[in-house]
Amino acid sequence: MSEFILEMKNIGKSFSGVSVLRNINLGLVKGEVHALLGENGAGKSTLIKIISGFHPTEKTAQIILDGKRVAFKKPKDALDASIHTIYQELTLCPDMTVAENIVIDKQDRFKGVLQHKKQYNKIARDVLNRMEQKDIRVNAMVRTLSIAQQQVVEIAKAIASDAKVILMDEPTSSISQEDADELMNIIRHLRDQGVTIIYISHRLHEIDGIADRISVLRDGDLVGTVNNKDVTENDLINMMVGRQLKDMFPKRDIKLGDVVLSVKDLESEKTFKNVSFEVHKGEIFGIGGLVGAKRTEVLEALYGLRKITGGQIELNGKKFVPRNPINAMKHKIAFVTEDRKKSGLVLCLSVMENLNMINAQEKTPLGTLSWKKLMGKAKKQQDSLDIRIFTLKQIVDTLSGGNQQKVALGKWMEFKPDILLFDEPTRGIDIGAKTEIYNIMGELAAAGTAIIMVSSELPELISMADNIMVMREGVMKGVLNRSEATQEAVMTLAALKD
Amino acid sequence: MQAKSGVKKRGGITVGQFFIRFRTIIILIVIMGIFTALNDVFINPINLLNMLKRQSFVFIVGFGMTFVITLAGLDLSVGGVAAITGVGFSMLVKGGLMPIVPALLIMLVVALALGFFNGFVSVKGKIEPFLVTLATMNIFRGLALILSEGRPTPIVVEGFADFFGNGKIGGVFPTPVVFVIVLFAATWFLYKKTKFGFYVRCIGGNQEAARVAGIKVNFIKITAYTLNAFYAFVAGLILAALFNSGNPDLGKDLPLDAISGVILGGTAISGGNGRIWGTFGGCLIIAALSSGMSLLSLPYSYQIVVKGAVIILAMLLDNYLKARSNE
Amino acid sequence: MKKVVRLLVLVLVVLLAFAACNPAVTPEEVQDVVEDVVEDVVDDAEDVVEDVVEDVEDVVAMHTNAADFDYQEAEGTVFDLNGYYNPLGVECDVTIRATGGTVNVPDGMTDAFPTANEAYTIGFSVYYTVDEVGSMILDTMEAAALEAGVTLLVNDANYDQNAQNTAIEQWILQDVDGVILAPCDFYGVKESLDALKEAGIPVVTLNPPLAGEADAVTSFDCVVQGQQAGEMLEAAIMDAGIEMKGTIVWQNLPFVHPNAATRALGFLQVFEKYPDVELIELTGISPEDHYTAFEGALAAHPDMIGAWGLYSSATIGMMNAKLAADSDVLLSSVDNDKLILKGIYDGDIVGSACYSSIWPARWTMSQMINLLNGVEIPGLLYGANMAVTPDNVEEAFELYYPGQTLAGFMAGTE
Repeated sequence: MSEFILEMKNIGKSFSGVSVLRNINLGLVKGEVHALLGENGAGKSTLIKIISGFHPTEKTAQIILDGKRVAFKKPKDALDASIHTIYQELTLCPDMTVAENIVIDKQDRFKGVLQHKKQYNKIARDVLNRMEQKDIRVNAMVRTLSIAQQQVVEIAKAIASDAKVILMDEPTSSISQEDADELMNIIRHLRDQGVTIIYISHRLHEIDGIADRISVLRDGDLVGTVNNKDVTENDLINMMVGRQLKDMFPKRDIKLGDVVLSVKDLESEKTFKNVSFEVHKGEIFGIGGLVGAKRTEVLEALYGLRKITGGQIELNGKKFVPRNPINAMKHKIAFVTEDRKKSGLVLCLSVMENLNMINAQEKTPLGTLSWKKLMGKAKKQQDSLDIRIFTLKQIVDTLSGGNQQKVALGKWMEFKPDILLFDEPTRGIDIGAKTEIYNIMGELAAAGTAIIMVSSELPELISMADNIMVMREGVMKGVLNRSEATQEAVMTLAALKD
Repeated sequence: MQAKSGVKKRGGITVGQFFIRFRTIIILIVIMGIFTALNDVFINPINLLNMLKRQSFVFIVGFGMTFVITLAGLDLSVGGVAAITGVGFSMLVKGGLMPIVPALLIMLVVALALGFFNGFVSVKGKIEPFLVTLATMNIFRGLALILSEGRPTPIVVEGFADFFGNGKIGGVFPTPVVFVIVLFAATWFLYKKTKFGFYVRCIGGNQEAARVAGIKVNFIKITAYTLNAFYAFVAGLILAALFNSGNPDLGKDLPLDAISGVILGGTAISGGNGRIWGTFGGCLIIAALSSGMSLLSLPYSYQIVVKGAVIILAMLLDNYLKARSNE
Repeated sequence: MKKVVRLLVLVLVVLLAFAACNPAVTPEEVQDVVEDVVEDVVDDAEDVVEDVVEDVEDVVAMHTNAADFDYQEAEGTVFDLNGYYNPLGVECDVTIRATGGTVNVPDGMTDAFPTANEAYTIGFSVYYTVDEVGSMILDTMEAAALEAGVTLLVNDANYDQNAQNTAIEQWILQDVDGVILAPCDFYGVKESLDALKEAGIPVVTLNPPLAGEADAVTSFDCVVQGQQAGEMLEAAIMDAGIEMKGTIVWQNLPFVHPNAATRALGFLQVFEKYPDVELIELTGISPEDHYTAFEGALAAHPDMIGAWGLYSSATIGMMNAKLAADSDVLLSSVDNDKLILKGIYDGDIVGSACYSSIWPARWTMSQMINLLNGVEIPGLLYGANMAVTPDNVEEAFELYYPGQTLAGFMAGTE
């Protein structure tokens, strides 16, 4: 019997002849939290899909579970082998109760009859108790739970099936800091009970706090597996990007110009109120706060996507009431949204078409478009942002997160906004691309654009912003300048109750 | 480094992608090959021209429907618009009440108003276009019946039937086919080379992104439904000319045939980027099936089974090819 | 004749080709030669045509089934369809080419069914096959084609005039000798008739078109059908000793149909003489529509003394509504659906004006064969109508459904 509960040997995968994963050898010790690190496109997702049976096990590969060689043809095979995966997108049935969701894949136990309400409520309660999650009622509808609670239910579902290995794919990407802390507690708890956890995240500090061992992937290769206590965050970054990352946050020193935007007592009914701040030419103005602080909503209001019910906005000294995006654009305001897939990009169209969504709106004879001209503009935008693609005709859906974010931002480049509203500039993109985005922000600011940036990543906020407004539950809690802004100062304003 | 994970292959396309790209024309060639093997009249150029003429209105409505489906919508009311166009026109010119041109203009305005109504109610009332047009399908049909008192009105004005239906340019080229070709070129230009077409594709792909980018989403949507009624208007005139009358029953199968053509052409029913060439090919498939099965004297019951089966097979082929090309 | 023309063309082509290859020959020379040849060929052709015309004149009087013809007007007078329909509000502009007059024919043939002189190919397009009438017409036509020794191409248009026109265009390309069609759309069929005219292909229609040109038309005198239905209802009311006072509800199609308009005319004429009778028209398409409408009418008109279904779906819907409401209102009908004949037998319907689906189809094929054989045929041919009452319902059933009996149908064995 080997020392490992799950051992993988010679795992590889290629798509259409392009190899995305090569010769991975990885062993998991029972009861450890094993973090999987790597930039987007490094092969993490593919590896997870192989372990969870989503991609069939190839003949040359070996997966050894508890000393026995196994091969998965479909996800159910992995589940049957007690390997569970918690995906980013949760897979619960929203209109069933917590208990029903927890027992849904244990129908065998009830011989296909799911009538034994008492019985499965008990199972569900036991599992939740084991996880010390007493707040969640077993007969609550899943729809009524928060995202974080739903995640707990997902985990409970795995525990109820006696999972030996649980894979978690970026579980904290859409929950608040508090919930993330709670999740960490649950993970530690499970680890102590002997469950092995594979934890995938971009957030290095999170991994630092929870992982026992860390494996780093880069470009489809396993760079190495290290003990958490032996390495620093910088070591990990080096392993991930394969180069010395001199400065993650290349903040440029730019002298701030005149006030471009002045917001006073801005209010949007039932959403936020008493928001006042000033933004200067060339400034990067940060807005910080926890999930639910209504930061995005402030940007939406400035862009005419949300009704303003009080206060006033002055743009270059003149009163301004944004009625709709077209109106905001007329005043040279641009908006790069938080969720590029939902509201930033047209995924089924090409890079060129996406990059020209704004350019195409210029007046033309009879409303015709000259794609030749537009192609030239797209090329310029592509070059200025260093979007790495083979051809501008490539469909945006096929790009990596970093490149997609560059396209979402890039379409505004020829528009040359005075004010750029930038919501979560680097969400879900890898470290290399993050730095590139920061560089672009620096260039824009140097050219005189005022950037209003909403960010949930404290280091980003603190390092990049000239001034930071912190909000909590729809109320402005204060503005910190660069010298005052520390992680503690921001968190105090963002989280502490009055 | 980053681009590598996104793109499968540099330059050229894989066999699977080739089949996805050209699958409409491949299906068309296979179907036409089968019919040619079974009856040699099928491939006769005159039969092919007749085939285009016979389904010309499906092509034309298919062009308009491509905009609507690109917007993730549907328009079931086009048959009703065509019927009102035919009935209204026939009544306006009956007994020399009015010359052809003013009657055409009046019916054009009426048709556009019906299309506008579809778009307006759907956009402003926030009702699924499928439901709005399901309702207006009946309303328009009912209006056509009321207007005509249920009877077909013969059209006896000089020149109308020749211009829209039965005329042949140079003695061979049926005028409805000319309409198809001209409208195809115009539609292709509109879809690919104008702001309107581009906005339609942006909105269809991601309405929210389009709104944030300052595109007038509602305006474009309403315009698309209004435009679609224009195509239905032309189809209605061709039908009326072919049938020599304004019949309130005109174009009953029109919406579903046109939607089938668009779908066979590779425009997804869920919206997004569509294909005008594909729509042309998809409608050709519909036309070839009608013509070929008629030539083989297939009973109606068998014809509809075959038509339905071809759509399902095409969609299965699509999914199979997509799954293969992702491997 | 056709061969002669082809020969002419061939000669011309050869000569022109020759001229083209031989520059020594001037166009004038060619023209002279061509003119000579044309003269010769035209002379020959004229001789041939004269011969054929003589032959035709010999057989003109010999319509193989003329024994059963009952001329409506003087022999040779073709009925004026346009003059018949237009006053009824049914616009009609039809030309009938055959010159043999207008005849009534019985449900049967005294003489043998005609045989084709050559192996003709005939296209037959039927408007609908998914009911008893449509499928009987199709079966009859196929059997008749076999009997006559011709090849039949079939099109099932399913009420789609475009499909019918498609088939006819294809038959023109296939060079068929003749076309029989039962129109889907009475005006829309004009396109096919025009195309057939242009191609010089003879056409006989089963049911009249309302626009275009046909060699001959087979139809029914629908005014008589309406009259028969009216008279049967009138007699039943009188027999029951009910006073001719109150409402009579009749149900029509919601759109104008030539057969409906004429039936209505005949029916209404019967009751014109009763000033105290109010006639109320209701419309619908399916038996369900008619059921609902009649259910309401039964409740709304307690003074109803009679009712009439203008066609089968109307009667069937009305009969069911009547039975469901436990009403004994007198109901008459047109059409010979099995359910209607059963209703007559059961006493739920006083009578129906019936007509065969089989014999008119056979008569139509007979017309076509005779036409192709070069015989002068009647331009308009009316199939027989029969007033079917409880007295003759069993025989009628056996006539309309050969090999089946009403008793068998009612016992559920057929």
